[in-house]
Amino acid sequence: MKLRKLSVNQLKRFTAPTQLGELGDGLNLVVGPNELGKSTLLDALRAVLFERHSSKARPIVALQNDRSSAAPVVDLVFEVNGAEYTLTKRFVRSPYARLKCPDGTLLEADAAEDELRNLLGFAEAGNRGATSDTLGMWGVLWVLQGQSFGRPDLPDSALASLSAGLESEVGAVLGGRRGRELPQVIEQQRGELVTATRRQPRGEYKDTLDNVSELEQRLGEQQQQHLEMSETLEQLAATAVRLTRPEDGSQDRIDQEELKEAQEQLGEVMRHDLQLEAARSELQNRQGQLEQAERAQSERASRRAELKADQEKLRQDTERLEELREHERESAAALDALRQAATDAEAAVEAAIRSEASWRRILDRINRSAELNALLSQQSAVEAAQERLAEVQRQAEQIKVTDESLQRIRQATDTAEQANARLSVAATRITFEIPSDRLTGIEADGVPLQDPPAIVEAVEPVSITIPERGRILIEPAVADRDQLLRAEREARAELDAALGEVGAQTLADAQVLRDQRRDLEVTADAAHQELERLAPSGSAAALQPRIDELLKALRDLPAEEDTVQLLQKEQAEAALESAQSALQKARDEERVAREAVDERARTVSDLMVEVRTLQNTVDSRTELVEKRDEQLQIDAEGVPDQLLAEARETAAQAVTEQKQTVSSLEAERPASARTQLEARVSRLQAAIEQRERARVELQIESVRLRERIEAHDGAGIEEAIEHTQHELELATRRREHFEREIEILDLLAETLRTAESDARERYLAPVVNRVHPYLQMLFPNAEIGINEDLYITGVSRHAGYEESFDHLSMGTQEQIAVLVRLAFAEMLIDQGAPAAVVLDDALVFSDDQRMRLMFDILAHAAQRVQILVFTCREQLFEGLGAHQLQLATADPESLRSA
Amino acid sequence: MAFRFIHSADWQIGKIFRFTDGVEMGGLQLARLEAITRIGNLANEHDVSHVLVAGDVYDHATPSPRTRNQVVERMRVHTSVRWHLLPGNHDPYQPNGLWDQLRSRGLPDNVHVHTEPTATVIEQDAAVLLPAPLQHRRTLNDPTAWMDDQVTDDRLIRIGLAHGAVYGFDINEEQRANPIDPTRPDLARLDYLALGDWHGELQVNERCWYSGTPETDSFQTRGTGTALLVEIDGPNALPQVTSLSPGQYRWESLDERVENLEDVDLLEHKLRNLNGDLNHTLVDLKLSGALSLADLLHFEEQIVEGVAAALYHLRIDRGQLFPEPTDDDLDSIDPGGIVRAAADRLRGIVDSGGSDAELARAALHRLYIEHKKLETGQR
Repeated sequence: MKLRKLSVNQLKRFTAPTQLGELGDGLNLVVGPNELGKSTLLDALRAVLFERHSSKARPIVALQNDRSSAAPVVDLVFEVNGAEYTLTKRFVRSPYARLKCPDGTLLEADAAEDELRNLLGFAEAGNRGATSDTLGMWGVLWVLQGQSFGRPDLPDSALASLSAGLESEVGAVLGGRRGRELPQVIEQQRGELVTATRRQPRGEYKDTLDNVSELEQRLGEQQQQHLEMSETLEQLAATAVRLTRPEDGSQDRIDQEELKEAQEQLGEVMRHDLQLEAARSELQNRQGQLEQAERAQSERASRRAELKADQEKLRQDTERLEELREHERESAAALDALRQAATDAEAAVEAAIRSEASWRRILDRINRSAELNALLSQQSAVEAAQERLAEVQRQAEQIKVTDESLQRIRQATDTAEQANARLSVAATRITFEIPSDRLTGIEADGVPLQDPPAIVEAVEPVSITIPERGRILIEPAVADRDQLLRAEREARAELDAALGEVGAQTLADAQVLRDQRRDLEVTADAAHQELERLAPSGSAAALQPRIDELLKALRDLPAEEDTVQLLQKEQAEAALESAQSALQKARDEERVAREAVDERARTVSDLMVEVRTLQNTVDSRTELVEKRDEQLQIDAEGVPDQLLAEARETAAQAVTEQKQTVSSLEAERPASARTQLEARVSRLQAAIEQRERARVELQIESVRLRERIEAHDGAGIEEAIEHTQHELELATRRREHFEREIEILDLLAETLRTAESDARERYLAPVVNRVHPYLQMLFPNAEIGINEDLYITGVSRHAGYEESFDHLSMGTQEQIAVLVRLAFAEMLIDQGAPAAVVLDDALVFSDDQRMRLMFDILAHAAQRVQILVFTCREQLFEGLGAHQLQLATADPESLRSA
Repeated sequence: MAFRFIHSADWQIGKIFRFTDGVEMGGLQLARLEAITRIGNLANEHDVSHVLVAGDVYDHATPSPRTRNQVVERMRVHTSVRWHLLPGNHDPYQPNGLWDQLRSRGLPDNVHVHTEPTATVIEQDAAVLLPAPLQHRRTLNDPTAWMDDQVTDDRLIRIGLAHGAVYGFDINEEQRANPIDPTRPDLARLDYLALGDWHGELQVNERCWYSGTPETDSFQTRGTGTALLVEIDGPNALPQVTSLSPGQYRWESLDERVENLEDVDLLEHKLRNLNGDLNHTLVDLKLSGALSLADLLHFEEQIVEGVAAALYHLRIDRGQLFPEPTDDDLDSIDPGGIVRAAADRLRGIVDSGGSDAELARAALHRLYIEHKKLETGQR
């Protein structure tokens, strides 16, 4: 379809006849500012084409001009398949519809409406006016303001229009309701057996698998139990077989017989052995008797020899005893002599000790006397020194001048002199320049004047008496006389006091006194030091105890040796030394004498012991010899030697005979070895016992096995096994059924999926193929996702990843929506259906780059589809290169309102 | 006076029926126990004092105590009947095994276990029994051989009791176990040799019979279970043998070919008209042929869900029954839709005949069924 010219009158703002045209084949642009009435023109276009002229629907009534309320009139010239139609409709008041067909026919009212619907393929509008359902594809292709960015939402009528060109009907291609439900049913059935994601068994299938494995395990256990049972039965049978022999007893009988025989043989051998043993024992006995006889004979001979030897020994001992006794007597005599010598030596020592002691006492007395004298003289010296010291100290104490008092005197002297000096300075000097010879008699205050120049220094009034002449009273005017005088008096008083205190008249006196005192102090120190030296303890009394001690010692000393007192100390010392050396010598001699005594005493003692020992020996030996001799004589009388010899002979004969007896017995010994027979007996006994033991053990084993069988018996194991096998078979069959079911459902689901995917691809191919070139211009390598309802699901721009349409930017959504509409329009045109695209204020969200690409796309599409673009952006849409339409005044005649 | 007894064998109490579920198996096991009671009743009915059981009383050498005792208790109540039991290959005599345990726990006076090959007079002045108990599952020697040299009172009827396969009877002679010479009655001068092991009733010769199991236990054995009423007038007289039917369940095997809807309907009719009580009938149905998916659906509804409910058990082997999706089948799937596309795809795999063909066939069948369910609003 191609729109050619649109004229309106009394339609909203268009109160005067206005026309838009001529529209070109391709891109047409209506540009103008807001309020120009672009949308009104689009409303007019929709109304004239798709609304019934008689409609009282609100959108139709709304077409009226608000003020005039006149009937809106719309006139449209359009072409379908190259043939031109003119359609005119008046609405609301005296409405009419006229369609002038290419063949000149003029259809009116409903005929016109019917023909129009038939021509353009839309449904009759209802009472509420045209809706997207009645508009069909036209609603999709004509995008009103603000709708262009949404994806085309196709109503069934639009879908039907589009699908008409697709190979089959929508419902048929996808299998309709069953086409949708069947895969779900299959998935659901499969979902009951395996999980959707990980394909893990679930539900009955899982239960069956669990059941199978549980049964397999149970069966294994039962078979094991069965095996054990069979083995036990076999063991029991084997035990029974093994028991037959021990229980039969035939072997026992054979063994018993053999045992009896062996035991008899053994008895015979043992009897013979006993005889032989007895003979051997007898031989041994006889040999013993022989030995005894021989021993008796030899014993008597040896006793005789021994007696003889003892007698000889006794004789020797007796001689020796005599010798020893002589020696002992000699030694005792020598000892006595030695003892006397020792006693003498002891006496010499005692004398020497006494002499030495005497000399020691003498020397002691001398020493002590000397010390006493020294102490007495020292005591005198101390007492003298003490007296001297006391005298000097007494003298020193009498002199009162000290350094401090001297200092005070000096200071007082200085102060007095200073006071005098001040007084002198202040005093009025009265100088008497009178020759000395004339001075006589002249007194100042009663004091005669001295030699000239006599000067009187007056402070207080001075009365100068001049004999014979009278008296001159001078009253000096001293400013501070009283003060000066008082100072001078005080200083003098102080000086007098200081001097008086120490008993001196003047300072010089005081100094002399002080020096005297110092000398005395030095003397006292010297005396003190002397005293210290003589008596460190400080007094003569300290020496007294020692003196007393010495006096007492001297008194106590024996006083018998008065003569000695005359001796000098040196003499006494020499005498003592001589006495000491004599003492030492005497002691040495005594020691030697003692040692000699001791040694000899030991010798004597040893000899005495030896003598006594030997005496004892001789005594006992004498007794022994006597006894032996006596016994030997008795024995020889009892059993003469001849008899002993005969007995020995007899015994030797008996031994020889018994040896022959033994030899003959040994030669007669039975052939069977006793050890062999014993081994046989013990072997047979063991065998019989062993058999008995085995029998008992086997019986026990048999009972044990029977008990085990009894215990197992309750299980009814074979029947139980077969039951389990049966259950396992059923479960296995169920499992196989489920596995088969899963295989079938898998194949079915897969096949259905593939079929669905193929069908969708095939069905959507015409749309996708038309969108594809445009999409490539806008987004190279992009693919669009469209579902069977021609609903845009998304766009794949990157490696097959589909972005949901809703997640795309507004600009991209709008651009894609426009592309799809262009594709739909093309498809309709290809089907021979009329189509034109109207975009009202579209592409508002596009950036410059995309806008240019969209212009290219629109231009390309416009080669086949008429596109009418309404915009208020004149400058922006310049680049579109569209045929720009203008509004012009229209012919009022054909647009007459009512 | 004639000596009468019932010859039975192969009770195999405690037998497990692998192909059944627990409930069905319970019924079949109970039926085997009830067969003992029925035999006891038949003995009373026919005034018989002895029942000879020729081996395999139990299915296992170690049955559960309950199974073991159930058998004894069933026999105990028939006090007028003396039961003679013989260890067979399923329950061979083992020292200290099942039979010794039964004995040690005390058997009723009317129950006799013959575990030794020893001639035993079972009816004073009338009959002597020569039992040939098995000591193992498989023996290579004829267990009845000893009977030849066994001397008994000439005035007594000699009855052999054995369990095994008679020569020339087994297909595989080499593998033959427990072999029994069919001429044993002649060799051992037996008046009758009562055999067990073969579960169907069978006359080997005029003095040698297999009684068959009293309750059928396999599809290979036709008819209900049997027992034999044997009457012998005296030594050397020929036995008069009458077949009895103590069994309850009928086991049928069918081998059918189905190719279309009509075949399915015919099969249904055939099953519904089987002899006997369908409630006590087990059917082993072996199918071959190919059915379109629509016909297969019909088969499922009519046979698998329909007739099967009427039978005690219907075992279907459809190993050779192939779903053959036809164009009609496929056309019945929404054309142009993906379900149809998937069906076409699966059919392609089926037609290619590759390794996946069989699975694809099953998947296609499933697709068809599910699609139909959706179509008919069953979902």
